[in-house]
Amino acid sequence: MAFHSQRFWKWALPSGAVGSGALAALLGACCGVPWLVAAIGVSGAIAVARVAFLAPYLWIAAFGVSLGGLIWAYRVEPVCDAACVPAKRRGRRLIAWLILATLVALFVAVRGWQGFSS
Amino acid sequence: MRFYRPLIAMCIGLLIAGVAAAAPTPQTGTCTEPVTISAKDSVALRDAFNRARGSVRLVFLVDPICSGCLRGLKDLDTAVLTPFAGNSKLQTYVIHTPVLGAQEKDSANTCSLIHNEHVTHYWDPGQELGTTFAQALGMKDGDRTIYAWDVWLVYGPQAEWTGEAPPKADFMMHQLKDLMGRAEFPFLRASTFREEVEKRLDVHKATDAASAR
Repeated sequence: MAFHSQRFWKWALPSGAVGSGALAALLGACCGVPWLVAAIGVSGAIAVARVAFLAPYLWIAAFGVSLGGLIWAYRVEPVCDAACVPAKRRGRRLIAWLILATLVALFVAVRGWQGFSS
Repeated sequence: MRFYRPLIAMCIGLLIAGVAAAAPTPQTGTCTEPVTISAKDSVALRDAFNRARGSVRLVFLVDPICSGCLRGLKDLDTAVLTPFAGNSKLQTYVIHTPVLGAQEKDSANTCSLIHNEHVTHYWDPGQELGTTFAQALGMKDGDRTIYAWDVWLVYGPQAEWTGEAPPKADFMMHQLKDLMGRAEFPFLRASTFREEVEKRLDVHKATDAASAR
C-alpha cells in the first residue's frame, strides 16, 4: 500500500492509531486494574507486566498517527476542475476527530486505573 | 419399630455429614488455604517468624491480582526460591493483601509461580499489615505513609519480632511508583535481591561452622 494512496489514509492510519492506543491502554492497565489477571490469566498478566514500560512510547505513536490523520483531513487540496472528483472531506474529518476522541478517552481511563497501580 | 430404624440411622448420618461440612476448613498456610491475619491478630505470622529465628526470612507483601506483583514473585522464584528450594534455612512468608480488590481464593494465582517448600501464605483481608510494615520500614512520602505492597523484604538470622510491629527489614526492595528514585528504597531487581539473600545465608553458614568448632 503506497504511502500516498487513499487506502493508506483510509484504513492504515485509523487502525494504526486505534491499535497502538489500545495496546498502550492494555500495557498501561498492567498493575492497576483488578480484572487483568482474570481476563488473560497469570502468565498473560506477567507477560504484559514485562512489556509495560513500552506503554508511553505507544501512546506517543498513537497520538502522533492520530495527529497525522487530522493534518491529512484538513490539508489544502488543489481546486478541482472538471477533470477530478472533489474528495469527501467531511467524513474524513469526522473520522479523524473520532479517533482522537477515542484515544483521549482511553488515555484518561488508563490514567484512572494507574491511580491504583503499584 | 423396625420400620423406623433405617430412618433414624439416615437422620444421624445426615446430621454427622452436616456437622462435618459446616466445620471450618483448617487453614494450612498454602497458596490455596492461606492463614488469615490482621494487624491486631498477627500472632500466627509473628510466631512463625520467631520460630524460624536462625534462618534467613523473606517477607513478600503482594496483591495476588496485581500483574506487577506476580511478575516480581516469578522473578524472585527464578532467582531465589527455586535455587534454594531445599534449604530449610530460608523461610518465606507471602502476605496477600487485597489492594486491588482481590479475594482470598485469588491467592491461588501464586501456586504455579512458587517452587519452594518453605513458603507460608497469609491472607490480610483488612489491608492492615501493609500499614504496619510501612510504619516499621519508614515508608513515607512527606507525612504520608505509603502502603507497603509489592514490597520484598529480607531479614537476617538474628531478626526477632518482639512488639506489636514487625522489626525493620535488613534489606528491602519494592515496585512502587511513590518510592521511585529513593536510594534507601531500591527498586526490585532479582539479581540484587539474590545477592543479599546469599550474603545472609553465607554469614549464617559461617556462624554455624564456627560454633561447631
